Amino acid sequence: MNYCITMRKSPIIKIAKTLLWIIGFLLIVVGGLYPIKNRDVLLVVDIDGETESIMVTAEEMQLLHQIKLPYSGSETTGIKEIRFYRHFTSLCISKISMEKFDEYAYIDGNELVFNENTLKKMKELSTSVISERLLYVEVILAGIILVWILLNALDEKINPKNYDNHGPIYEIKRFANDLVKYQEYIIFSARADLKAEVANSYLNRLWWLLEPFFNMLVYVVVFGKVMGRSVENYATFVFSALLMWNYFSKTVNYSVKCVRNSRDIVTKIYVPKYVLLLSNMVLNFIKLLFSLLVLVVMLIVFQVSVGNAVFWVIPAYIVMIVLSFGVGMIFLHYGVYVDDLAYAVGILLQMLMFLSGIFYEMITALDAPLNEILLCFNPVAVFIDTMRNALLNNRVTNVPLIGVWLILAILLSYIGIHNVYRNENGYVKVI
Amino acid sequence: MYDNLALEVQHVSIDYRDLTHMSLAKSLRKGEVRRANVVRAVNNISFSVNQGEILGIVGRNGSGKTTLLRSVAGIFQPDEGVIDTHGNRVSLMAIGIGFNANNTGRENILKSGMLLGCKMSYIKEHMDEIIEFSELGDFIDRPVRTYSSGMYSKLSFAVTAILDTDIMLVDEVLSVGDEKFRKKSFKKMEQLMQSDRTVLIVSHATNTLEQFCNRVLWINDGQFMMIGETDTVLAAYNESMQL
Repeated sequence: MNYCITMRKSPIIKIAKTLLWIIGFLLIVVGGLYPIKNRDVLLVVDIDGETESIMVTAEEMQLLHQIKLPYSGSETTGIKEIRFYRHFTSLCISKISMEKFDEYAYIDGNELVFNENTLKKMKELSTSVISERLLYVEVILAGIILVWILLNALDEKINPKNYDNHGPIYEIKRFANDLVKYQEYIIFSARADLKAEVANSYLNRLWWLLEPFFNMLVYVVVFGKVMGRSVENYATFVFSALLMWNYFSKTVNYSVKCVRNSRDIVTKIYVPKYVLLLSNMVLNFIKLLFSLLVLVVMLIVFQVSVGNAVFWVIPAYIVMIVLSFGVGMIFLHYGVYVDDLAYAVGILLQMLMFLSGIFYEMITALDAPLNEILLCFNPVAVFIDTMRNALLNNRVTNVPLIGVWLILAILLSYIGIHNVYRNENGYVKVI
Repeated sequence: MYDNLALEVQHVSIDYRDLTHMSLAKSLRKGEVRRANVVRAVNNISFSVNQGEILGIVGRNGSGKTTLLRSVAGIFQPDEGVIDTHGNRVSLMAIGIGFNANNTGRENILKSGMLLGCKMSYIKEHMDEIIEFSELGDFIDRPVRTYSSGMYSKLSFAVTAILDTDIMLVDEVLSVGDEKFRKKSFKKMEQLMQSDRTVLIVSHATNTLEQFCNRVLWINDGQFMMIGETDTVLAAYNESMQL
């Protein structure tokens, strides 16, 4: 442990970092303003799980007055919804639900005919490329952070003393070692805490199942019967999303108070502070598993048929968990120093909850530019949308967004770990 | 005794800043933080401890003993200077590390043992020994919240006393429990003296230090006063304590 700090970064790295900022900024400006030519739009009709699609190019849109699709039935009952895609076939940009079907199309013999309204909508979609632009900005941001960390790693390699054991290579190694060292504690402590929560109660461990079960009942009654006629299986729709949201919000909420709550440990022994957060995350994960069990029962009771796409629930959950760790680590650090952060985070999370499309579907419920912007910049909305589509509609969605957020979540976690390693030895003096 | 060093402390200074409870508005204006009052708790202290040695640290209340001990334990970083533990595992013997009142004594032993850096299998091996030492009997499988304060301290003393770490830091906890348990703890300390374990004891009770220590360090108001043979240092300390 050497605490003498002599920071002298090599000038090449300094220049490279300045260049990185300039290039990154330019790329974002250019990407944001570059006149992209009108895109082709893919129109997909969902008929009882089967899809019928037609690609309409930007030029055709100007010429055509109507679009025809072969359709065998004479009634519209089989048709679930009409979706539009631009460049990414997993990134749905707009939807027409069945209630508004008559405005956009009619059945003529063996054909499904889409009228001018549809074409007008498609033209609008073709000129706006907001979600592609936002995705591009996110990729550039991730790139800048990644290169920044790589530059630091290079600097650390050239001159290890500069970083005083806070360079990326050292920290990642240390993180891996600590994880191995403390994994027994993390898991054991999560289980013990879980047990302690119900230790006094009469029904004891049964509560782990009873709590999500009664929660589910509330949603079935309130959202299934009283509200929600527009979405199929509204109770499942809300319940599955809330499970995911609750995990995220619990983790972030806990992280703010994490170090203060663990005063007993922190003031008596050295322990990497994220161990405390991880232990709580494992605890919540065990609870989540019980809730998921209830969800499975719910799916069986409501006879939701599940297909291959259901496996996309797993990556959605994994990225969500990594991101909640990353966000949690950043709040963990500031929560130590700033007293009122707990209130602020509570309010922010509540606002975010209603912007995450738990009670509604983002694409259909909100207007054109807003829904795409929210879906791109609110990661929780992306995870919920992907998870729910995979589970209830057997459809793979938002693949590029999940990919970008995975990278961003890992980078955010690294920044959080770096921040905490750098400052954790000062925490005891403050709490 | 032995020649190889277990611990080296060089020119260590530790500051406390008065910024305990900040508000969001204040923290945004960073200047406020920088101008916070700085209290120097430990000022330029150097010493080294040999392998297997027992060093006492003596001083009045608020002289920075505990602060020094905590930074040796790695709980916080000194603002200046170097602390080198030569790769030894250090543990601060303290009451109830990571105890959860709703868990049983047994679960809490495992929990705090793992926080001290021991493997689960290792703790399980020594479980009986710890339970026996703690004199808790059947209470070990009851929630810790049902314990009396004496039982609580006995349990936590037992955990740190039995589970081996290379360097043990003791902060005035030898006075826990009843007369019998106290004698037992003293016996355990004597055992440790004979073993190869390095121990740092903080106390202002000079008779404890006389009994165990090879050497004693005296600090006053964060300043280094003297270090040397137990008798010499304690005599000087006692003299300064006279009214």
